[in-house]
Amino acid sequence: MKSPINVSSETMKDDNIFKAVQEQYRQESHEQPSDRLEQVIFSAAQQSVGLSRVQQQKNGWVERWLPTLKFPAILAGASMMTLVVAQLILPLVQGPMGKSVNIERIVASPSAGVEYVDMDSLNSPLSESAISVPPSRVASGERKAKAIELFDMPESEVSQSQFEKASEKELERRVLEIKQLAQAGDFLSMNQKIAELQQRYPDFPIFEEIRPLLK
Amino acid sequence: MTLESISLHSLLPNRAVLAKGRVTSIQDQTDEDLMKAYRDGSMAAFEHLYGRHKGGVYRYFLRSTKEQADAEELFQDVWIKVVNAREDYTCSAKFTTYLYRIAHNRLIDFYRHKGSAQYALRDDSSEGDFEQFSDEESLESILQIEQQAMQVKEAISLLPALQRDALLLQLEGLLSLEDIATICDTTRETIKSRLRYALAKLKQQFEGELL
Repeated sequence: MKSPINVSSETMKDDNIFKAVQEQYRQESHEQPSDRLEQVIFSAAQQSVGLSRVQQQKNGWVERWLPTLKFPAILAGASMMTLVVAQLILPLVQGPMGKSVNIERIVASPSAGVEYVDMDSLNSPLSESAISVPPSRVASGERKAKAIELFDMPESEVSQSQFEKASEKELERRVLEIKQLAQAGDFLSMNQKIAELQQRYPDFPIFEEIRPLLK
Repeated sequence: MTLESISLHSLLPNRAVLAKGRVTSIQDQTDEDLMKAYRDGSMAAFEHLYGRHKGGVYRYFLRSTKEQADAEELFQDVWIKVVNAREDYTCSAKFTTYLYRIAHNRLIDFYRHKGSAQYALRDDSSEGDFEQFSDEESLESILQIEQQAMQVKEAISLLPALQRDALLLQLEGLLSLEDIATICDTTRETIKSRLRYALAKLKQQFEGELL
């Protein structure tokens, strides 16, 4: 059986031919792929989606937990950074000139008054100029030794002993001065000094000290 | 009305262009939306998309290969390619263009594999020559059609490969001349020429039977 195209052949133009062919073609063409093919394709499509979902679930776990773990992770990172800076970088950055004085003590001295003693400067083999203490305030070797001794003593003992020694020396100086005035016969000045001494050291037997000189 | 103005998209089932934010059923979604939905994991979208195009792609191969087994093999290959390329799909062109480009390329591979002399005639310079239609195969085909009263679809199957390919892409893929030209890596004018000669040949075949 023939399938005529219902248009006039004489006046047929391309578009009309096309329409006619299309119409005829659609009437005749109804073939479809088999169900078996469809199942194979759907199975592949389903598998692809399934695999993707598994991947998405894995990614989803990371996405869910990432905000929760972010803060602790940042905290841990910051702590580590601080430790690294403290342990490694700071010692490299600080040179000998910039090093801080670790111990500074105020030592009372009868001769030099109050004196600052840098313990690092005492122990360090470096020259005194390398230490950020003015030369005038740098203790001599003897004083340093004293200071070290004092440093090793308890604080209460240090101050008490130091003040006792200072007071003793002062007394000796005053007694010596009075004796000299007595020997010289300057009794007016001597009496004045005795009064001052008795005022400061009321228990000191000053008259017994000068009596042999007055005879 | 001219050949190029016959936009077969007007013959498509209602493919509404979706407004953003508007809730639509799966039937109203465009091919591109369905493919994107499948890319995002919707199996229902794929089933609907497959339902829309399975007949066209299958018949495209059936008319081109003339063998059901070959057509089924090629058909399956094309859809498996679509499935495998799911995650990489980007809406850079119409889905039909994308689909039929895969189909067209697979068909070329098939011809090459078969060593088809018919497809070796792929030479655009000879396409404009109307006498090409009077080659031995075409004459034989016309006689065969007239003698055996073959139907239109069978006559299409006997067209030269390039003309048949262009005509089937338009009939089954409902593609525009531009889209067919893109798929075939040629110019719009070349496709227009192929279609014109294909139709002329069909007209010649059925001329004696026309009312």
